[in-house]
Amino acid sequence: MSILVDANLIREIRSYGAFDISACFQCGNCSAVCPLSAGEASFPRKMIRLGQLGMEDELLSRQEMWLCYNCGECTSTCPRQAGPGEYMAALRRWAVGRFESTGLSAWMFRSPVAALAGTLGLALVLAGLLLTARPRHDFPDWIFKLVPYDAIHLVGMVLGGVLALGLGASVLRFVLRALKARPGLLKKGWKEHRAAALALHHELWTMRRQRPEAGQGSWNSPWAVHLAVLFGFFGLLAATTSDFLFIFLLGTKIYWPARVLGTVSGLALMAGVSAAILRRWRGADAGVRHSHLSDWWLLAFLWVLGFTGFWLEAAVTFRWTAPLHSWVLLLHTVMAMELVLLAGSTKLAHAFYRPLSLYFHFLSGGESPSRPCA
Amino acid sequence: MNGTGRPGDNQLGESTGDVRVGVYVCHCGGNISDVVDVKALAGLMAEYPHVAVAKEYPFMCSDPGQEIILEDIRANRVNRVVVASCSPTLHETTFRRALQRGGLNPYLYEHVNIREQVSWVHKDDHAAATRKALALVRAGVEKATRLDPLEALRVKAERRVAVIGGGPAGMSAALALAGAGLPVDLFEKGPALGGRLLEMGRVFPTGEEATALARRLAEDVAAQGSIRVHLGGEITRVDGYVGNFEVRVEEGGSQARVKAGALVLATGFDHYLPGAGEFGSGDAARVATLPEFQKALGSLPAGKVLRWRGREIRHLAFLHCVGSRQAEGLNPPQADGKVNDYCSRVCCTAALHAASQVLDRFPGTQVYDCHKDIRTYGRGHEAYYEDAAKKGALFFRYAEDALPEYLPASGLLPARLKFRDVLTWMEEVEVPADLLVLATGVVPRAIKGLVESLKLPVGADRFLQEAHPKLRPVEVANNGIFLAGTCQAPMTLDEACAAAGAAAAKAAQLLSQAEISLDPFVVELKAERCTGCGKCLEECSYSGALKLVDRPLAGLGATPPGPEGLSAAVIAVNEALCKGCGACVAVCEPRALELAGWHLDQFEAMAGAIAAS
Repeated sequence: MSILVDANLIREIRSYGAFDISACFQCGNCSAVCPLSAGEASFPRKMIRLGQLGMEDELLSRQEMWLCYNCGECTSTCPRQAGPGEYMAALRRWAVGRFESTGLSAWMFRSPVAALAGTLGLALVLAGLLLTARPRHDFPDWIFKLVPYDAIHLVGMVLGGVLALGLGASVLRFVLRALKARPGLLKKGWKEHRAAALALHHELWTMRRQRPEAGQGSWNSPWAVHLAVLFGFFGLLAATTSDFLFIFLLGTKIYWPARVLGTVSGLALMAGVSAAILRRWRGADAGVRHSHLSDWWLLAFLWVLGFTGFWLEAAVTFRWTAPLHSWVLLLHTVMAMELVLLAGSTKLAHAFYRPLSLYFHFLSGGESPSRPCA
Repeated sequence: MNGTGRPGDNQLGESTGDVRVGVYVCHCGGNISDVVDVKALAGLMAEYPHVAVAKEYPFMCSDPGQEIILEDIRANRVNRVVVASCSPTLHETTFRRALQRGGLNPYLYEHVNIREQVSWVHKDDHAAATRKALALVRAGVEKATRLDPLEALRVKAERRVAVIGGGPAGMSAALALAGAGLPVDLFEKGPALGGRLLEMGRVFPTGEEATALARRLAEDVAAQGSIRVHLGGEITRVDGYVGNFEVRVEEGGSQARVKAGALVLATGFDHYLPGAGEFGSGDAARVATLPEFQKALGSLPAGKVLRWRGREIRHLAFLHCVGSRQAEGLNPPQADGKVNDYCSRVCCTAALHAASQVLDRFPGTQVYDCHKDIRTYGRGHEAYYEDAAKKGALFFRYAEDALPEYLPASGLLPARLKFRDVLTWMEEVEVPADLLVLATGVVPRAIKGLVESLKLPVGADRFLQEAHPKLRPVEVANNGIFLAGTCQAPMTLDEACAAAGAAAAKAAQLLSQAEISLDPFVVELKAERCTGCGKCLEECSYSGALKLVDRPLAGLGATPPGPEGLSAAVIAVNEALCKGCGACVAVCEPRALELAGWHLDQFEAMAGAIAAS
């Protein structure tokens, strides 16, 4: 069955940030220098070609775009300045948009105005909900004067449900496509699943595919930065969740375990995000030389959340009672909720697709790279 | 044989009675001496009859090496020289000039090749190699003792150039010649000057209107008083030889004859015409050739989507290498049974230039480019490739082992071009094509009459062939005929104009003196031996070099006695047309024909020397 070429797809992907990709003349330098491209998982060239030919199903069912750690070597080697690294990033945004049901993601990725309007609009809706909800039981602390604790709790629960439904549907679509394209994965035995799970576990917490060789890295290498953000994020998620679920058991004292975990994770997150912002600002390497609004969006959210988190911690500890601090709580809460609500529609969605892709990759016998990303 | 030297001319010690040969064996810095025993060779040759001196030296071609020869001419009265060294192609002229500097006739020289013919091919047997070298040098000496001094031939030249073809190359050549002060006759069979330029749209790499360029050149030509333009005439015959060509042209019912000292051929090319059904050709609304498309493109109004013959073209595909780079067994053969295996060179850039214009003017038309390779080799050409790509053209590289297949529209599907794509890991792809543009190549123009009357050399690709692709790129082997532009090979406009300039410069150089000097190695006639049998005429490849003329019978010893007052046919030689190939000599039984510098008795003596060794 021959492939009927459809040129619309590449134009569509281009609008997600791969603005120079038409210059690609398929030389394959990008795949040759890519530290992660090997064997069956060959990219970026093949992924670019699939886009050029309009092979949408093929692209959506493949894992390659999520195996890329955006080191930028391909982009700096490209003889036509086609930005293959940007293309891989655009492909991820496009795929997030395609797996998401509402179309919100595609809209926000493709237009900076839409991204800002959407973010702001959603924030206003959330703030409105929080400010108007007046639950029967209220936590008697002064900090919750403006935004009642139960309101946060209630809205948070609802949002969690919405997120679970929406994200669940997206992830399900992703998984079904992958399995349809590779029915062999369904026939894998328990041992293979175990090995893939172990490899994924190892990869997730060490990111060894991105780790610089011994002595080559620096404190702000992409690997170190990403790892700090990753641990910070998960630590805060754990702290917040336990705070959320067990507040009556744990209380709000600074030395309580959930608070300690939150403080440490928050520091890691702030350090990582600040370093990441600095790297992007400076355009430290080819991987961050071009930034899409969605890159800044995520960094800005994480940074503001971290910053306001520490602000609130200080306010609670030192009993700053001015109304300003209640407004800071509102900001913090709204942004946290928005981040969670949009988790499947923004750059954060990679946190779901990448581990799954890696799992499928390991399950199908994908080798670990012999050399790490620079 | 006016001007040709004769034995016994008054040259310093050159009469055959007092022959003193100088033999010089070159080491070629070890190239020869590592294999051939050069000392023994020189020693043995010193004993050979007529040899006055025999020496060996590391580099005979060096200044000190040549100085040895000059010194021997002065001090040892050497009057024939034999150098045993490399190939004559390399240094024969070097040593002839040395003889000239020493006051000897330069043709009293014999070159013996003991490098390519001995040391390089007999590395493993030094003794046998030395014996072979000895035999060859002896043969060289035998020939040298029988050499006659020769003089270069001189022919009077008509100071006028005939340029055949009034396209850009012809006009450029005519302008350059006029600029060099030569009168020019410019022949164009069409009704106006301009040639192929008149049917092109915009041309790369400047994007100018081709017709505007043609107009500019034609105006310049018209402004030159020394260019006579012949329009609409049919050239019926061209003959003659260097310095004395004659072009006969039929203009408006009357014959005109133009004499010219040199010919510049600017007869141009033809577009390849696809065979019936070749890649869908025949359906003019859906398949066009690039020249058709280019010509029409300029006048199409810009818009969202390209419109072609009333249809919206949302998908426009270009197919490269139609009629070029054909493969035997894959493409159907041309009329002569062969395929066009050469690259037409201009179509890649022309196709991309057209693609780029489409992308600029019709943003709603998607362009697809299906190629074997992209060969945008010229300065500025690659920019069209990059530009078309950046504007969104999609590129495909079809596998060379099969021809792309044209699929007509069916049902909801548009017409498509199907092939396996190298860039898509050999997957079979179908490229939609509401309009398919065939980037047709360049083929030689049918100029059979000209080729036959002038005996022009034609290459395997059927284009006119130059004498040497690097060293004599705009001359043919026939003296006085120069090639300007695409009659020689596919060229871009700028290359054709450059070639025209080169051809004009060569023609101007040739006619810079009233007489043209030619190699003296032409056939000599001993008229008294000629029987007028005419066998030589059949062998001669150079029209007009030999012809039968009537001579009074009296005084022709060899012919049988006939009635008084009658005449008999004998051969006459036109030295300017003779190429010295010797084909006539081989068939001349009465030995009336000999080749100057290559007499049969010289060959016999050489063969004898080799046999005796």
